[in-house]
Order: sequence, then C-alpha cells, then structure tokens
Amino acid sequence: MSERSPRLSRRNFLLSVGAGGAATAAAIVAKTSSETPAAVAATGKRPSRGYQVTEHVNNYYRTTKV
Amino acid sequence: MSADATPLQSVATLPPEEAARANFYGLLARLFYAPPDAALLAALAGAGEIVAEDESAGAALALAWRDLMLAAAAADPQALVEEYETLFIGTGKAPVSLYAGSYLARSALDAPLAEVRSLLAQRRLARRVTVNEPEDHFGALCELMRHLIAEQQATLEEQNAVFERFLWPVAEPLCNAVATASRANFYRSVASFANAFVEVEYAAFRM
Repeated sequence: MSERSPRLSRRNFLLSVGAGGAATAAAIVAKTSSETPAAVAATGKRPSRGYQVTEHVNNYYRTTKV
Repeated sequence: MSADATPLQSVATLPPEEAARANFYGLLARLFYAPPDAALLAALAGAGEIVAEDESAGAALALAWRDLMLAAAAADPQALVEEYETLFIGTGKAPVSLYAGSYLARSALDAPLAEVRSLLAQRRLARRVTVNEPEDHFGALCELMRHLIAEQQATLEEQNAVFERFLWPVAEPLCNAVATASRANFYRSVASFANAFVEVEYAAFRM
C-alpha cells in the first residue's frame, strides 16, 4: 500500500499540473520529428569560428620554417 | 485501464502523464540543441494551453507555457539563429554555457562530463557519432531523460538518479543565466519554461 499511494499522489500531482499538455507537446514533437535525430544533430553543428586551414595560414607556416 | 500499470511492464503504454513528461523533455532537448525553425515555431505558437488546477507549481508551468507559445508566435527564425549564436556560442567564451559541467562542481575523481559518459555507458547509450555536442549538453541531458522515460522505461528511481545529479542542479543556474543575459529574448521564455518544468519534475519525484 505504501508502494501504491506515492505512485497515486505522483500521478494526481502530474495530472493536476496539466499533463493534458501531453497532447500538446506530443503534437509538437510529432510534427518536428520529421526532423530525424540525425537532422537535429546536424542543426546542432555550427560553423567553426576557430582554426581553419587556409592559404593565409599555410603562408604563415611557411614563413616560420627556418 | 488498470491503475496497476507500472513503467516496468514491457508492453506498457506509458500513462499519459509520463508520456507528457517525455514529450516535454523531447521538446526542451530540441530547443536547446539548436534554434527552432519556422515549422517548430508555428507548432509551438498553435499549441494548446496547459490547463492546470490552481496549484502553485502547476500554475507556474501553465503560465510559462503560454509565455513560450506567445514568444514563438512573435519570433523570427533568422533572429532566433542570431540570438542562439549570441547567447550560447558567442565569440570566444559563450555568455551562457549549455554544458552541465559549467554548473556542477567537479569531484576529485571525475569531471561531470566523464560522469555523464559513464552513466550513459551503464545504460548502453552513447552519443550519436553525427552529434558534435558533448554528452553534458543540457539538450542531451533532456534527451537522456526522454529516452529513460519513454524508451528504456526506466524506473522512477533510475530516472530520479539522473535527474537529481544532472538536471536539477543545472537547470536553475542555467535558466537564470539566460534570464539575465542582455541579448536573450525568445530563449528567456524557453528558459523560464524549462525551469518551471524542472520544478514540477522535482516535486513529482518526491511524491
């Protein structure tokens, strides 16, 4: 019984805060899941602002050779 | 429908409130990984309201959700790309870090990132090779929660272990950092929703 009542009060709590939001968020997630996780990962990729090999950089390296 | 259904049953359909949690985590993961595109913004703007009984944590969640819907309706996708880059990427050091490691104390043995990796390994999960973000990215942690709830059907104890270690202590400082960042706009609403949701989670785990 002590197993059951925590679960029940948790359930009631979640339902009372509006887990009718389930339909809401589910619809949103479903609509955007045409973006596959791989696509989400791809959008997570961002342009590098750091080091990039360019001719300018290679020229510099050339000048450092003794 | 039997009230006895537990998350451990292999054929369980998730109870609606647990499915809702998973979905919210999924949405937060998506929003923190990258700025939403026009389609997602439209979906958010057109979403139904959360209806809460007049209970303090619930009311905060419903309000934060409505705020997010309104922010989504007003948002311009290109401006959002810039906002996201400005806040979370920046030039040099980002104004707001999305990495749990920035908010968690290092233990003597393991950095938080190493802890997350070890936890993932225990659960036979790993970062997708195509994903560039380290595993302690807040979006990744939300995705982990979603996965635990909806796909691994982890017990509440297992979920709470992850939540308490990696989400609960990170959400508030992270969301506060967003809230106080001068260039935050749409993401202010995302952060306040994330915070309200994490509060609800915290309370629910304690029941």
